[in-house]
Amino acid sequence: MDTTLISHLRDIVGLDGVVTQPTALSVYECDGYTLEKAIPEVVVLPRSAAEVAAIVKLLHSKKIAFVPRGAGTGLSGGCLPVEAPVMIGTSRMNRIVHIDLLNRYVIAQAGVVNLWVSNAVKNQGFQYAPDPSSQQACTIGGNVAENSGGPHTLKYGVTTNHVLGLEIVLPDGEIVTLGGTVEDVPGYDLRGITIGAEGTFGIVTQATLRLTRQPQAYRTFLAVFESVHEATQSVSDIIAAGIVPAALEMMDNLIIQAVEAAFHFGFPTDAGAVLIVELDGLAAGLDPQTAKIMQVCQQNHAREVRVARDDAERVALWKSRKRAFGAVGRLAPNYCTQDGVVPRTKVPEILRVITTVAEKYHLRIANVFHAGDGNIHPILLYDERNADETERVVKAGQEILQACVDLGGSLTGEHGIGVEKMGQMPLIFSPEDLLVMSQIRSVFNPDNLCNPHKIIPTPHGCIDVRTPRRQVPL
Amino acid sequence: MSEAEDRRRFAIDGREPREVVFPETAEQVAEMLRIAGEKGLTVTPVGRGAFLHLGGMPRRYDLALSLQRLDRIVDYQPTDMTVTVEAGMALARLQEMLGENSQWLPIDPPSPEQATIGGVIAANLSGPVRLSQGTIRDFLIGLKVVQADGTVIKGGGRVVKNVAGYDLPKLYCGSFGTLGVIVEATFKVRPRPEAQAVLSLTFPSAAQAMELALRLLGSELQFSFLELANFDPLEEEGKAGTYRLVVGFAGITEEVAYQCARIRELSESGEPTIAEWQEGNELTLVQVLRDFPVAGEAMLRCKASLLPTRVATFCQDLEEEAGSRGLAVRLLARAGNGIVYSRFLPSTDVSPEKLLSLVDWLRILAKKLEGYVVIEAIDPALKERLDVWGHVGGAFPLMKRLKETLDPQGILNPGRFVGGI
Repeated sequence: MDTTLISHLRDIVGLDGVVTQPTALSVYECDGYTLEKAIPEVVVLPRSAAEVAAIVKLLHSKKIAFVPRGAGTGLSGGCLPVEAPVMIGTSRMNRIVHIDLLNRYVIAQAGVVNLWVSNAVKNQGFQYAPDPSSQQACTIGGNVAENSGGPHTLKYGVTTNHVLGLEIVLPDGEIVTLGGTVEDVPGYDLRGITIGAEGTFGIVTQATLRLTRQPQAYRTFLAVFESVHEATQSVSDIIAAGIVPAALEMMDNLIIQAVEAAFHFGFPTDAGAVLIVELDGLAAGLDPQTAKIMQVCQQNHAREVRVARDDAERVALWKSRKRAFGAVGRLAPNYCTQDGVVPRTKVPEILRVITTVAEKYHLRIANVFHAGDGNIHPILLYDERNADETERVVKAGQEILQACVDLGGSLTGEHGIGVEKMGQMPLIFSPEDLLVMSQIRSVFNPDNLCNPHKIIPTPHGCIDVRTPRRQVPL
Repeated sequence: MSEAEDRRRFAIDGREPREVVFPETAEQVAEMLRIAGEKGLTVTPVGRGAFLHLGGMPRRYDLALSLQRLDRIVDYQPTDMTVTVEAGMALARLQEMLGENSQWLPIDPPSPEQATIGGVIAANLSGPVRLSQGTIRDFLIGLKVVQADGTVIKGGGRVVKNVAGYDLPKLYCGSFGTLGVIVEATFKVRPRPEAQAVLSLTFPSAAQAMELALRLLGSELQFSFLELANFDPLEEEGKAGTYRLVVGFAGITEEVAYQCARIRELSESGEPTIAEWQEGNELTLVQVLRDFPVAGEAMLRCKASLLPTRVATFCQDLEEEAGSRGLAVRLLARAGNGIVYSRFLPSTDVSPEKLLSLVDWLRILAKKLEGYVVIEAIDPALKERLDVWGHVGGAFPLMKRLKETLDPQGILNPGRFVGGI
């Protein structure tokens, strides 16, 4: 990398804001999607939108490509630097700028950790509703890029339903506000299209987030079933009964065992599957819904339905669920998580497909997912030292995604396309659909300098050729 | 209906289209757009023509393309809680079908019998329950659009959670038919609440009403809606100087009962005065609140976007100013969202200049309060002399580029959107 450029970058962010040491850079070689890796040539850590703008202006003038990065907890390689030598990290932009409880919003810089927002307002009875499993680490900027979800999005919606406005540095260095603090700002909803654009429109530096009142009461159940089928049927029946719980999650036997070994919550390790069902809202309304849910579970032969006794038990239960991915390390050296979506009623069917695929490819596949949304997370276990097994994982993954699409679903519910699923985009989008997407990207990012080679496949899959450390051809 | 009648029906600000067409399929829409492109004709997508007063004056108005014959349910899976519907279906009809399964699309814009699905999306129409439910963007999960050149594209899908590709459906919400013609939409729907109640609280001033409203919005109560009015919604001619909060609760019977009791407790202190509506009567009231943005006669209708804490000041200042100018104004705020609709009653002795200067005054007030004012209806002769959308801000160059990218010939609804797009 050009040393003058490095020194210009240092002028902007200070000596400690530019990382060039190879050992330090290797930290940035991938995000939570570890099948592909690429090391940036330099990482820059600005503290403000003005610094981001200055960096981007400099890079734009030299036509150097760059990628934004938050905490690196993404699961589709969204911040992998593919042919982008410069990485711009938001970790030092970690200030909550403004809290307005009367108008129920918070302005947070991009590097603020998701959970910090809720923590900052919880004593006043408020919360920031989107709660991805990585919420103790993932950043608001990353959440905006990925349009992140989480267990409680069944009732509360995903990131886009809770963002009023964005401050973004466009790929030419201009700072622009999209949306605002008030609702119905005149003009196109550029905030809406930017959320979920996976950082390909520019670098979001600040977001105005809607706060939600904490519910008065919770009722959290753990329903234990002999089989996955009975659990998923209960999910369909709960929804059909006209109940929209705050969360409706399923874990199968493999996951139960791993989670229990890791956190000792007291999950029955011989159960075929468990459902975590959470109701929230006014205490007055919870009893009638509880009765209905109990009835549905019993009709589906639940072995047991446990209700969390107190808040501590509820918190422990969620901690186990949200750290399930971490516990998977006990099952295999490597794993690959998928994020397909099917219509809610097709959950039993897709789980049958997953079982068949696992048998066909001689793989172990664990399941922990947002059952109420139809958003599956099969975890394919493997050992990357076993090349044959790794290849089978890739094939099995593709087969599961194809099945999701065939059942009327989608490739990804909350993890994003990134580099991981680019190749599968044509399964759900026509060439015309993809063309419009690339045209819209060009409106924001005409030279494709910001986070290139993501989301929209190009005719000659550039990834394959150009990332030498890539381990699996996808 | 004769061609002349059709042209009259779809007139915008007194201007009739050269022709009205009624395609019956997405393919026909595409064909018509291709022909229009070849002939250099402009195309304004319309539904049943109920909201044509919204938006700027058309720069040109060749073809009114009505979607009203695309009015079929494409797919409805009650147990998946999703529905795919053609753009020309009236919202009321969709709600009726969803209602058979005790479900609904939780939005309540004015005139649901006339409002079409495509129109609700394109004009981003909403109603009182936006407070608890959100707006159309929060339920739209998939969209099929015919582009200016006749290409049919789709965004999103049919599942409730989906981040594959750019979130195109959001872009078309409130885009006023300037980016493409919406032909089909997929929504996630919700169970209908089993119980509902409406209460009205009367206050001497907007400030007192909003003080309580903001306090309640921060409490455990889950309002279905919370509206502030400077008139009696059931009587039209409200006592001058009194403000009402009309609050709605919806949900499980026990929840609704609990919340009504909490509101009743407030009256034990003497202030405010509380009235309750139930068993059918409340429906009339809810309809009045819902239809306010289009109901009755008006010489000017505006919509302001503000922070909720600024609503009281806005209402009071506006009412005073109107009074000093000898004008009568009805105000209705979706108070928790900071949206204030104002309706100036017709008056014979108001000169055009006086009305225009009032609009200027409104814009200055909104700016001072860090909000926006959009003119929703005004006499065409005056509309010509003002920008109904007002200030558009730093993102406008992006919007313009977007428009030029998706509609390079500029044939879609020219002149009606922000900054003359």
